[in-house]
Amino acid sequence: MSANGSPALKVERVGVQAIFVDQGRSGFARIGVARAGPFDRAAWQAANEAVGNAIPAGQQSPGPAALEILLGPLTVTTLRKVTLCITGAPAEIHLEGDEEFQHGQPFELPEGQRLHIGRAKAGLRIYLAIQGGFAAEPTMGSRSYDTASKLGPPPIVKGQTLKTASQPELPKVIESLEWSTWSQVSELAANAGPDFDLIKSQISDFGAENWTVQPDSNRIGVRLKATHFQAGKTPATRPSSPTKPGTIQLLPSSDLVAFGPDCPTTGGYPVVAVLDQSGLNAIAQARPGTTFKIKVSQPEQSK
Amino acid sequence: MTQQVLPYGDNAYLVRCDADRTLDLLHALDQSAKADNLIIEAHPGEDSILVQFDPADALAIRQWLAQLTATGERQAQQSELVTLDVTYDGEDLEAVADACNLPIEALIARHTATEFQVAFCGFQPGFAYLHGLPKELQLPRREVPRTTVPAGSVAIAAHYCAVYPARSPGGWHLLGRCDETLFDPSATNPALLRPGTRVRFRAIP
Repeated sequence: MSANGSPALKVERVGVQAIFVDQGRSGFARIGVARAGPFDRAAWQAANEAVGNAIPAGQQSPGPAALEILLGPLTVTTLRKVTLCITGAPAEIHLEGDEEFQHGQPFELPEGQRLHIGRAKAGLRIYLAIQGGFAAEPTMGSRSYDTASKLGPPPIVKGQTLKTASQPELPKVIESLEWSTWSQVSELAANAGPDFDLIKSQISDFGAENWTVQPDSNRIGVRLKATHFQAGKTPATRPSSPTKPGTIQLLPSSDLVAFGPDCPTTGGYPVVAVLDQSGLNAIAQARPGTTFKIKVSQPEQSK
Repeated sequence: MTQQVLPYGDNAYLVRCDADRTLDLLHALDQSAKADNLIIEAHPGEDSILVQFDPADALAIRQWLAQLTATGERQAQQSELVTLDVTYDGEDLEAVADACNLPIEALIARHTATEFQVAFCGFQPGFAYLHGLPKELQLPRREVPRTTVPAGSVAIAAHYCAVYPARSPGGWHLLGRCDETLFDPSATNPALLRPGTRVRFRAIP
């Protein structure tokens, strides 16, 4: 990529996938373009804030780009002095020598250091933020890679030089960060969706179910399988409806698909519930086999 | 039926309406002075519009959406008309003609005589669902989808026609191909076809 900027890190090793993520593309759902951006937004935001990167309010502006690393590992060499913070799925973070760094705490490295991020010990997605934010050529206003449409700068490859947006005189790093502990959520709080009536009479069964994350889950959607729940009167499809990250569709098989950041912008299956960002953060980190209870709050109760 | 405004998580409403009102309602929403400062984006499906906003504004937006009325001017009459040149040599052309009980020439004549309109987009960037396919050309999707459909393929399924902007898997019936670029992320307007755009096809050799 030919993005201007100041060389900061050289990628020595990359695991399954590492991609750039900023707040994503907003305003293009109408032409079939997904939002993309960080799946676990809380982790992305914490890492950026820790290194002093401002997160713009609202979603129209993309904000700083960080790396979303699926599972790890990732090894980088510093090409100059950098300030980094790593959040999300917990993994070992250490230098070639053996100095270790705290997950969720910002740290400074001089030039010429080799930093190793190990495989995630739990969860799926690790976030690496750098002071100044990563530089990359934006596509439709965002440097987020969309795994479905392939829009945005392509995934990180071995040998790639990662640059920062500027050599910044930035505010000093955050003193202490709330992001210090990792916890896996076991209950997803969802709001009733427009087709909630399809499951209304079975809501106690739905709520009692241990929904299990399936292996064919990704940034487009997370498939959740029931052990007992059987939807009653499920129409196979309904007229195509607009969708967004967090949309939960009920499939004819009684499985659910919870849409991720790279989801399609319309879909033909009924939408029984909708996750908010905290629910998205939770499913972003859920390995196949993870089980969730889903608690659906109905509009009568919430308003 | 007036529209229903249904909650859709903490930062969106789904406005459900009759399918033939969706574009008019979207147009009214776009024209409303409130749209710019209240909402992040609004995008349609067949019989609904998803309106995403900053959670702080939820109540004001709900009231506004419930009261939104289409002007009555048909949006179709004002929107842009795009004419796409098509080489009708698709892999399914013959099978579609057979299934519709029409000679191939008659199938092409009906397809080119139709004025379509983009109802909504989805599936992939720039993929537009074109409304207006004559009843006699409506067929269910292919039983076995193709793993690869070439970019530019002009295809039909159910009551829709579409042009594939990029190579992808697909279950629609292929009538022909078109050379036009349908989606260009570097362009000011990346999608040639947007909700409301009127579309005609012209047969070329």
